[in-house]
Amino acid sequence: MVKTLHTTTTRDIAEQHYRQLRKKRLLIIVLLAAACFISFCFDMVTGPSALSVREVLAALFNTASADDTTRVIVWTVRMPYAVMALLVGMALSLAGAEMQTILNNPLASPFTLGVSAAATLGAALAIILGISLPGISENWIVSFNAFLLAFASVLLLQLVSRLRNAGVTILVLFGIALVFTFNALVALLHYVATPEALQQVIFWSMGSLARANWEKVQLLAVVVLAVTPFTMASCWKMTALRLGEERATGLGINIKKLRFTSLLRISLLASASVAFVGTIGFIGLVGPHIARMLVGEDHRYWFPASMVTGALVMSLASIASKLLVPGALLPVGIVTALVGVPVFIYLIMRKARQTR
Amino acid sequence: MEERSLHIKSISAGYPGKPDLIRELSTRSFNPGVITALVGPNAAGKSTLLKSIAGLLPARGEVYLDKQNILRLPLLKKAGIISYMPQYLPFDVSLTVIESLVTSLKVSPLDHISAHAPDVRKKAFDILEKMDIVHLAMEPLDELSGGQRQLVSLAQAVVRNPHVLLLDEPTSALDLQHQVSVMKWVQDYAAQHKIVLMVLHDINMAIRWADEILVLHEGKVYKHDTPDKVFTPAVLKEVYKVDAAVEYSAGGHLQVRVEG
Repeated sequence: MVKTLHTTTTRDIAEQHYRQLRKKRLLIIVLLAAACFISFCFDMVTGPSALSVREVLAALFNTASADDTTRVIVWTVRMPYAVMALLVGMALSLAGAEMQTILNNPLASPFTLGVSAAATLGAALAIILGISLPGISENWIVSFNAFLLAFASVLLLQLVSRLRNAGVTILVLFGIALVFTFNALVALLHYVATPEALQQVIFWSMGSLARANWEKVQLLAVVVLAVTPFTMASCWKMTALRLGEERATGLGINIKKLRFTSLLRISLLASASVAFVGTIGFIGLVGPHIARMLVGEDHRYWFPASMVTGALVMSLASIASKLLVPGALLPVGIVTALVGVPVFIYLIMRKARQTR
Repeated sequence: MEERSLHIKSISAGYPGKPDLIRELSTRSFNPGVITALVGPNAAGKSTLLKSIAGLLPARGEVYLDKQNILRLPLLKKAGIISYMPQYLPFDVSLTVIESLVTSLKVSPLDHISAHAPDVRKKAFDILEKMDIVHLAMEPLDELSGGQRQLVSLAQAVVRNPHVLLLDEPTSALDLQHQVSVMKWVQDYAAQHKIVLMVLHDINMAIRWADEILVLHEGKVYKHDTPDKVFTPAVLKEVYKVDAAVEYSAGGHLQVRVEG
């Protein structure tokens, strides 16, 4: 009797803790989203043109009263850049989260398997040799090429894993081989490029939000909105995969199919982001990592948390890219690496201390 | 109570490097309420057989549950009948015990369990309570001790209440106390008219806990009977290539003692 009483209370406490934990996780996601919004506001009021907060607000909410220059800066420069930062952060971080689960590797990111290297090759082909598919307008050929090659590289990866019935390790190794191959091909193109084209390619490969415009923002938003529901629909299966492939198969999951559909989503998210803003490393690694520390790996929470974390980090990086060198706008890809890496290392060290 | 029993008819399976580790293997019935231990030397095909039944390895042949060939069943259907407990839980997973159980229930639909979230949570807590590990519910998987991990892994396997429970070396890394608690639980589970098959390395463990022993030797069934009929010095000599004495302890338990 005493024992029953005892276990009932233990259970009640555990159930209560689990309820609290779920609430806490939701709250963390909401708070992160709120932080994104605040960061977005800051992003809107910082910039080389030194507009005052009042001028920005006027241009936003009382468009008629603002002068043309301010209006253009706010609406066609700052706003698309700031929105793009959020979208790219979400897309890359979500892609990274999916990648880490299907490859069972916390160090995986969309770039581990050559997505960005392929995108750079596509861009270089367009810029240096002018090669693209017919019927693509001049303005879009670089982005289009980058997307096409990035997407193709993931499909190639998928093909290889299907042909040889390969496991995760083979997939990662093949991805790494792809990175080196694409890099070599890009170097070859550099070698034959004119100095002007070379400069253009190198600038392209440093990711920059300065390439954003409303059209690109809309396209990326469509990709993110289209992919996310499928990601969320897979969240139980993805969580189960974390319990091991054998266990997951035993639970009725077709792992090959899960991996394939996830790779498709990853390639869409990563290719679209890279195509529009160039290589922005690190977000796909650090976003999911911070999110994992905050909400764990119940993918119902982890996927959304990764998205908002990625968006937040990217938005903060966008602000930093304007503040680090006053009057100039650094390519944000450089900032994410320079500012992000120390933060990342700090977080890992802190975690290592906690678990010891 | 389910009375369906399992039997294997002419099954062949293996790995890319060893395609026919088990060859046209057939067995008599595995009955509900009976624990069968699969024993045999390394590479005899114990795990291969277990994984083939679980659908983790491609296999030719037939595995019947009553009159239904379960090898033909889609994964999802099979997941409602059979549960396989791997040797180890993976490390570096940021999930709590209760989350792993809720996931095991939520991920694929079961006829007899509602997918309604509160019901799933109740079911998950019920199994922890039954196994007397409800105090571990909120522990991260990575912070459990070896014995606790194995109990939780077992909980993940039985939370779906499978008719057939397959265990791959469930006690290999455990101290004596945890071996007993895991095996006691397996015994209780079998007593609910469930079919239990487990791969065991340790012959004395098999004798102590299994009702029947299936000896595998070179990919074939060498013997399938009660422990006292299976473990004779002659069998041990032929299958394991060791000289062994089979004796009864003071308490009347069968024991195998390997010489030299």
